[in-house]
Amino acid sequence: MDIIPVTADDLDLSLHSDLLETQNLTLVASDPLLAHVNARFGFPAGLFDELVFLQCSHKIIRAASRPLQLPLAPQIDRTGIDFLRIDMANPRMTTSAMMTWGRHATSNAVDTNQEQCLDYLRRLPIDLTPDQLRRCTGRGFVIVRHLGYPLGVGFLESTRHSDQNCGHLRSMYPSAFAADLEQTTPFGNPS
Amino acid sequence: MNDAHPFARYRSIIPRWDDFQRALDRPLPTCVWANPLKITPPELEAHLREQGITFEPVGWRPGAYRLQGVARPGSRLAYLAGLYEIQEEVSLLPVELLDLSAGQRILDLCAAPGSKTAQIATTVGPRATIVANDRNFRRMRPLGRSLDRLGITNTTMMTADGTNLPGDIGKFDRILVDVPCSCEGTSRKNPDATAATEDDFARLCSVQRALLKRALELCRVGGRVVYSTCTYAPEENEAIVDSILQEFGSRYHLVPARLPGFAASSGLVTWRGEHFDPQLKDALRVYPHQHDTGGFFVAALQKSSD
Ligand SMILES: C[S@@+](CC[C@H](N)C(=O)[O-])C[C@H]1O[C@@H](n2cnc3c(N)ncnc32)[C@H](O)[C@@H]1O
Repeated sequence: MDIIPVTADDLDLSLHSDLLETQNLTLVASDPLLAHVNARFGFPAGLFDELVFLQCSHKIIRAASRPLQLPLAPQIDRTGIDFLRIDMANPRMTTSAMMTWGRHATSNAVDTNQEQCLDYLRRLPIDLTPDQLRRCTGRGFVIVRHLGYPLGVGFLESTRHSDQNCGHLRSMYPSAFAADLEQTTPFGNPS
Repeated sequence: MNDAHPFARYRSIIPRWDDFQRALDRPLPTCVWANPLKITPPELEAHLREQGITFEPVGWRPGAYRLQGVARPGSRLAYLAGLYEIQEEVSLLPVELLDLSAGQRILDLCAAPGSKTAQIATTVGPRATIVANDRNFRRMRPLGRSLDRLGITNTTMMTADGTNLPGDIGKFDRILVDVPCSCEGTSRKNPDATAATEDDFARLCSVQRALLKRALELCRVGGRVVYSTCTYAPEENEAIVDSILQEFGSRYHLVPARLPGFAASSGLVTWRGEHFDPQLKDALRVYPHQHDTGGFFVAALQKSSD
């Protein structure tokens, strides 16, 4: 994963010279950071131009809006939203990033039917239909949507028809959110 | 009519007292607003219809709706996908009175659990900067979740004592001061909420005043500070604003806290023999029977000099 630190001047941001250090933030270049994400999901050019990317820990890159007029003090708890998890073999867009930009994805986005959507939200695996599978380019993370609205991340095991687990999608819907749905369904009818 | 009513001390200032009493016995309608970062109001209306959800638009606030017969609005698809946010109708008022516009730097001084921060952040657009602060870190957690769900990238969170924020935080164009209060106006959803006592005033009023004072100091000249509570007690409302005007009156003035289509009551200029600055009539008092909401108080102050 290519995480290249940059300065505020590189990004045309007017920030107090001590600010990033005081707030424990590192600005990160969007190129090549986004290359993999753009390639996999086919996002339109310029989608992320109004954002700056900040590394705040060894785990997470956050995305925040320009012009980023942060306070010099006191210490902030967070800015923007979690964008990329970088503490894993394959860095992946977070649930919040998928939910925010996933509607613009043109590949590796799965539009679920109601039954699949329910299973996904309950963290159960789902099997994709041949039509859904055709929109995916290969094993890896996918955006899960319903009625066009992105809900989160899934992991597609394989798109090779010779594989036993071809079209098998693992739900990565956050367990805390799934727990909220234990007694009910998002479609109003009893579970 | 019953003088042992918990809010009997306000009988002389609440218009149509019987209607007020009756309103308190009704359940509070659920109100949601369309998240402009993800959906337009007509698209949300179409989605709600498709999902079989009955709703009624809130006339004075485009994009806000009262839902009917939805037991768990926080479990519906529209909520999970961040298409709407749930917020009590009357609590939409202070942000509407902030007079927001693109590019502003905005402070929400007492932000947790954060529905007003979300309202500010989605109204003002991505090129603004919002700093959401609260003293209570645990109460701020739901705000983090809302930012993620709604896709809000222009907001920074911090936990500090708002009465004592350092000058290094910088100046702001708009500041919301939604102070801790005795919450009398929330009795429709929280039956434990009852009339404030002298102990409440002793505990709350000095903090409320200190929060408003610090907010006014951190506001840019020409900027606006909105002070709000969900309580009827003039001690926590007009009296706080009045004491600031008495001390620093030449620097600040009230602007009318009025919104088209939202008729409520003017702020008080007298209470129990005490006289307040006449500008306080420009504050807004909302009683539950006026719009089928909770109770609320809002005052908007403009800063004319440092
Ligand atoms: C009425 S609630 C705010 C509600 C919030 N604006 C919203 O719309 O979700 C008042 C808040 O003030 C916070 N508070 C109390 N004293 C404070 C202080 N000295 N500095 C900052 N926040 C404080 C409380 O923790 C509480 O969350």
